[in-house]
Amino acid sequence: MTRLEEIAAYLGGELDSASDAAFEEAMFEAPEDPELAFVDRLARVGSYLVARNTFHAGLRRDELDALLASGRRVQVMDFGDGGRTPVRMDDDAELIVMRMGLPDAAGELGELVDVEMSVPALGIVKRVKDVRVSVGERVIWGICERPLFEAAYALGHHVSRVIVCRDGTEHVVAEYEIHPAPT
Amino acid sequence: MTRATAGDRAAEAELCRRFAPAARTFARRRLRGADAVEEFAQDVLLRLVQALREGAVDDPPRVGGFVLGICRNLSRERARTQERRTALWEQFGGVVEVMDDGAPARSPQEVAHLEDCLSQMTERTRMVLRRVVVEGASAAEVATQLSLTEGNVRVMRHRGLEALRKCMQGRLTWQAAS
Repeated sequence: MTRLEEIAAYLGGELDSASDAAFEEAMFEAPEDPELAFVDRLARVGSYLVARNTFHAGLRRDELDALLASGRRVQVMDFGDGGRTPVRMDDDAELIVMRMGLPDAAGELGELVDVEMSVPALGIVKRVKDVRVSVGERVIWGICERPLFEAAYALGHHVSRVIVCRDGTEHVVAEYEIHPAPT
Repeated sequence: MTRATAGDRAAEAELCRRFAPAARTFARRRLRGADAVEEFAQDVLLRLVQALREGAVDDPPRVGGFVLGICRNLSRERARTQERRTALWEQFGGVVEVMDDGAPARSPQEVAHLEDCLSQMTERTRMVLRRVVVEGASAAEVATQLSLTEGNVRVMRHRGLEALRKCMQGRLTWQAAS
């Protein structure tokens, strides 16, 4: 069992009482343990993301409605049903929600899709896996914290592609070009 | 440790920083909710500082065992500690505030980095990590919720944690070109 597995098993209450006690003795005997620090940071920051609906990729409609009613400063950017969209970040936004419409031509949709995001000028490509789809609306409500959006936004022109897998083959069913709007 | 027992405030703070992850992990094993975990860990460190100031740490090399003893005692009497906590906070809170150094709201870069790494994992892996690390669920509980075997959950937990650690040691996707 690796140290990370041992910590996870301890957190889950999976160790027998003797192992549980021994784990605690060792944890406090050597508290400066990088694996323990990693799991601690993961739990703290993860809790923060869960509370703000940014742990998972994308929102369900009911989660979006609750978030908008929560009083948090949420900016909703509409990327339309594809094509080119200028965007501007509000100065006080703490969470960014991105509406990505999925045209009828995209065909039948499952509850999860991948979204490939790229910055062509810099050759950066990132694949966001298993983004939730609001199937009834044919919409993806993507969400991220302001610092992450800012990091991407600072790089300029982005292209996002929605990818679905059908019969073992990947298909791009929608494409969005995002341009930071001139200030 | 010697400096802390001699009343060096910086050494006390360093000792708090050193034991904070262990105290939080001990609490996370028993409590549900991030606020409850933070509160428990603060209580442990408040008592540690109090003991140091009172010269009650008899065997400095065994301070780890001493802190664990605080955790266990506090765990037993937790229901009766609320009133005492307020007074301690007023007296020693300034030292224990060191725990807030890494608070997520003050670490935007770390928040963005974890979000970036999580987004590149499958939804099932994200869910396993959330249930295990954030919510303290056992492999058996997660297996029931996600209709998996306990063995599958353990494998996903192991791989997910390792992948996340590796990702967090790298750079944010959007900074890769700079």
